[in-house]
Amino acid sequence: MPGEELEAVVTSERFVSIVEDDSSLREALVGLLRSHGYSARGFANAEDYLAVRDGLCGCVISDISMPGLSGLELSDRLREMGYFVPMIMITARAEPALEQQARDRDIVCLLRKPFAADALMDCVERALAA
Amino acid sequence: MDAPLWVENAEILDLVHDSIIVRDMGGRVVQWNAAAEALYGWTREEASGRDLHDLLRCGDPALLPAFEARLLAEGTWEGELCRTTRDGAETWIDLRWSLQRDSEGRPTCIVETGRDVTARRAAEEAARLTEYRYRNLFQAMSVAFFEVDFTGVGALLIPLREKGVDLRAHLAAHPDLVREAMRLARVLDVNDKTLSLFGAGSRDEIIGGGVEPFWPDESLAVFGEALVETFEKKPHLITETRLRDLHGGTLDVLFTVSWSPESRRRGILLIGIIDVSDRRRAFEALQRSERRYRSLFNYMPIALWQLESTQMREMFDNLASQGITDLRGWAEDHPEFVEEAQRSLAVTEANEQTLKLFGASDRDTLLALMPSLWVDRGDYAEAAAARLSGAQSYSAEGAIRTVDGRRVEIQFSVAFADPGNPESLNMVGAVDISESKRATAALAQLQSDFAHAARVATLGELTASIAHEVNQPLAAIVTNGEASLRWLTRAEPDVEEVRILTSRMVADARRAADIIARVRAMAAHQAPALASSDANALVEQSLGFLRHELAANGVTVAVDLAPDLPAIRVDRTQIQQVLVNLAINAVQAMTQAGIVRPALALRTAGTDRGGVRIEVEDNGPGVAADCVARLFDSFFTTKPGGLGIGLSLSRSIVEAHGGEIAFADTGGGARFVFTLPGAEAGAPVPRADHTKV
Repeated sequence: MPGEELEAVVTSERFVSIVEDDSSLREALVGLLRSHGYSARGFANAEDYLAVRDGLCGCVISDISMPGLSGLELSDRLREMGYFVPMIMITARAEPALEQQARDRDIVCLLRKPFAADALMDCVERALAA
Repeated sequence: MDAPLWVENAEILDLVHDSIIVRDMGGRVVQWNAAAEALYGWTREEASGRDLHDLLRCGDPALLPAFEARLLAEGTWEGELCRTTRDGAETWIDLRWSLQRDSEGRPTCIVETGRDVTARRAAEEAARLTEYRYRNLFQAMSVAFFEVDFTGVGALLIPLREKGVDLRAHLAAHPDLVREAMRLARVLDVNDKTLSLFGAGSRDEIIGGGVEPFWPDESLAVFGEALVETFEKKPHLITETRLRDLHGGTLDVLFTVSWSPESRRRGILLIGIIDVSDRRRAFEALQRSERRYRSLFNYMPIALWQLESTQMREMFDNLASQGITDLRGWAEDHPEFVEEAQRSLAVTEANEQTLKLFGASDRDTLLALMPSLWVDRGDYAEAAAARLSGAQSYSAEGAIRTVDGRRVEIQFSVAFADPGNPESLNMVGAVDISESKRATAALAQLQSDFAHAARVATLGELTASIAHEVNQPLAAIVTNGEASLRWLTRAEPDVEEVRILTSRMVADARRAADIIARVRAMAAHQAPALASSDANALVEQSLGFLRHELAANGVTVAVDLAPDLPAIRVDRTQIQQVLVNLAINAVQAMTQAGIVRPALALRTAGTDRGGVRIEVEDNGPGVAADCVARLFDSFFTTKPGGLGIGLSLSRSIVEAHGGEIAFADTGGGARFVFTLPGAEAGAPVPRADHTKV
């Protein structure tokens, strides 16, 4: 069931949604954010996130390569829906073209796996401040 | 009536050797001498007063009245009669009857003298038969006979001989003299065969003439020798020579001269001539065939040798008579019998190539050693068993030891002798296949290298997916580690959080290690190894390579695995290679064609024959009709930059495992189906090192 990581008390400033098909990384990310005092909720794919229409989160961390909609397509879909939430993309892919695609969509950060936790947390703070 | 004088002096008659019987004009016996008693077995007393012809039952009584009439008319009769003696024997008697008259000329009695001529008649009969037989032979045999009068030849040569001339040398030096002798010889008679053989229309063409027309110059020496041997009184002469017929055609003949002592006295020779042209032609053909066989035998680039197996056959017949039918079993239990049987084989001939094969310098050394060198016991028992089961030949691979101690692998064939034909031989042919075996091994190595290269190439195509697969757990580990540090560096470290995160890190690290191991196995260059495997597990492991590739291309996967599949005996890496290959092909085909909802289905099922069927199906564009036939060919590809080895290699792998692979157009995509025999199905276990491309 999506959203099992939901905190009891949330504010959009401290709330992060994580879209990642790999469950262990998804859980690790949720755990990392919690250790930094954020609330976080994980989704196994873009479709699940869209279904919840979660307006509470202050930022989305999404994998790019996933079955179904990719992270970039999720970004496009959210824009289409008029929902402007800051996004951070993480990927194991190495293609240089991804940088340009991310810039085109005003993606806050593009991180390549494996990434340093500090780098991710910097991105999260920048996203929430945006 | 005057009593005859000799009746008074009957005792005198007993002194005569011939039988003397007197009968009166009524045919009754009045006198019977001792010789008559001995000849006919009846005593004088018994014979007296009896009718003579009744007493000595004549063989042909109807003739008697004529004989009696002649006697009365002429006073005497002579002739031979068959009479029966007292003990029933038929006896030929040479008889002389004379009619006695009294002083007034009246017949008074008949005096008969008789002599047993049975023995003489038998000799005459035999002589007649011999003559008959001779005549019969003379005409009926397929021998041309000449009866030749050599009197004139004798007159020519005897004076020379009496002057001390060496006839043999003289005739050899004077062919004209031989010709003259031929002209002087006179043909007295010939038989029908002579006419047909020498092309004469009638006897007159030959009879009365000489024999010269039949002798070509090249055969003069033979005739001269016949003359010499005639004078040397040899009993017969037999030689082959060449004669000519009356039309000048040549004849190869067997020429015989025989002299019976009697005919030699009369100067007559019997010459018999048998046409051997046909036989000679057949013989020459045989010789040519023999020469051809010899040159084949000697110069064929195959080692050939003949085996003499009479003694061995007896040993096996012995076994059969003891009711032993399972020769193979018997041979296993009685190695000493096999050794003995093998020793009993004699190699009677071997060609040049055989010497080379066995590294022998000369034939005798080889022939002496060979039976023990040429085949090891197992090969030998198999060949013998095949022979006993009635096979005409047996072929197998085996090994020999050479004279200089090397071991050479050979392919050999034995053509067994026909037991019904004592002339036939066991012929063994062998070729050295060590080179070819080495080449086969090198080829297998090359093929294995190739399959390996193809796997590495496939891994290359999957690099991005593999990197993703490995990076995923690594990213999780790093993230969990960072989170743990956060919990630990708090004023009050949360050990429980750290415990949970650490156990996650261990699990992720293990997952990363598994991926590395899987890739390493695929990339490793190991000798193919067969192991009992579960087809479903192989499908799932293959998906491990593909998960990200499928995800990245948005391909949904349906996996339908049948439960309770039979185990298969395969090289796992190679079968995974096939599965990954087929799946990547499908993904690439669907991606290239821009299929909106690409879907891949993997299915397993059991087969009727106790094996496993695996299907890989996509909903891509399928395969163009004109490409289907070449789909599994090497270096055939429709992909830009494709090498065209994937399907070819897949087929080689499947077939090397004893399975089959086929393509089917589903109408809405492509389906590849391959089968693998069950490990327990008794299917031939594939030799995985025979993978070929």
